[in-house]
Amino acid sequence: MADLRGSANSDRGQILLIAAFTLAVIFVALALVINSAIFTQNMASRGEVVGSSDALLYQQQVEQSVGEAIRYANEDGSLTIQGSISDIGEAGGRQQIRDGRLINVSLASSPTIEKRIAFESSGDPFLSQNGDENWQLATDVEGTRNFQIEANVLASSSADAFTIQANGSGTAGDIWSLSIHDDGTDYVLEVDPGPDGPSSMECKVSSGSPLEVDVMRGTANGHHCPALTRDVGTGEQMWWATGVTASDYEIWMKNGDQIEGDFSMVVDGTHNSTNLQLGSTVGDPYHTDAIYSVDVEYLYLTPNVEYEAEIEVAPGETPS
Amino acid sequence: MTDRATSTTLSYVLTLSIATVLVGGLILAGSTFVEDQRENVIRQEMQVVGEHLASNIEQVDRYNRSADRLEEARVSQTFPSDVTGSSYLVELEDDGGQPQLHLTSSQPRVTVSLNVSVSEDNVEGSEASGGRILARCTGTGTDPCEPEIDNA
Repeated sequence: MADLRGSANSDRGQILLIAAFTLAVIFVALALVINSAIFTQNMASRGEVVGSSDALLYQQQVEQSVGEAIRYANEDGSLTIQGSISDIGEAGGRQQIRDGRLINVSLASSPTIEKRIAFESSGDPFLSQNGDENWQLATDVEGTRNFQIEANVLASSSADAFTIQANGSGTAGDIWSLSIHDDGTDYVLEVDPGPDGPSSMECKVSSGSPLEVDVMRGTANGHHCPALTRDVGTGEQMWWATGVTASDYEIWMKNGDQIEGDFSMVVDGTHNSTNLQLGSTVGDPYHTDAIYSVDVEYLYLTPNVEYEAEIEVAPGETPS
Repeated sequence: MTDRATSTTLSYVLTLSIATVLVGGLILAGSTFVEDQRENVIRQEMQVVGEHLASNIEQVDRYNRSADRLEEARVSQTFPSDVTGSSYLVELEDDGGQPQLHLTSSQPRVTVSLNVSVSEDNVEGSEASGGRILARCTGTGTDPCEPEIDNA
């Protein structure tokens, strides 16, 4: 057997020494691998890049602000939006720069000007300026925005109820219609969406206060009216003019003597100048220029995110 | 009397060779273990990098869908320039309808693939190496833009 009693030979265990060094190197490599694994766990728990979803949130706010500016410019008849958009851009920019984000909102091109058709009397029926109760408001309409009706007095039966129609040009019977009457306890709104849509529906709102209908948003006195939006059961669309198959339509009012109140709408078609007077004068329905939509240049910039786009703001349109 | 038919050389040789074999086996097992773990960690790290990058690409696609006319959309993020000591390459390709992100490390050769869901199912074939990677979509006016990746 090997001589285990100590001798002066001092080079025992060389292999063990080499093995120890090699294992030490292996442990160091293992430590690096574990370090990478811990870093991977940390990276996995990080969220999205800072500011990436804020770009879209802020875009929505800008769209809303610009929409309000358009509504205001139309109501006071000034039709100037440049100043409001600069203000929106400046105010928002100052707020966001504190968080290290650069925002720029500016007008991309001149606003699209179309026609506003309205009637403000609060106590007169919806008759044309010639006194007709069945009359045409506009032709060649492709889009209608911001259509609101306020009524104090209505017919009591559906047979002679006031009706607003979108008549598809070309085919007879290609009509979307909304009829409103008061059956004593409730206001009844009946919608027939036309040949390309589901069957007609109605919704009721209790009478007692004047009726305010926002046709594009689908509300009556603030309550959601499924007949103007979507059939609750089938989910089919009932929005303004959805069932009309033609690409453009005419807007007609029938039994205009059976309603008293106000209305207002913005259309991108040709107004009927026989039935409407130019400019608002108390007593007759009128037409006037109005901003239909605006193209806005939107920029959102942070060190990691850049989003530059042109967005179209068109308030009061139906979702389609 | 206890040292008949013995040889000092033989006993040394036997002891040393047994020790060498045992220690050698231990080192081999140790380094194989470390290599395996390194490969696992590389795969996991590239999976995480890929998922962050895929979500950036999808965010850029969301920008494209929210705008009426997109001019430029870009999201940049700094990723580690190597995974556990090995550099890696990221490739974004169309693969006939299903956009995919492939990450390949150089040494050892590990590949990780992920699906990316964009609205048009069209991406610009592009590649980037590890480091600061951006996902970008440049508007062309009429056509929907195709996201791509690049080194910032």
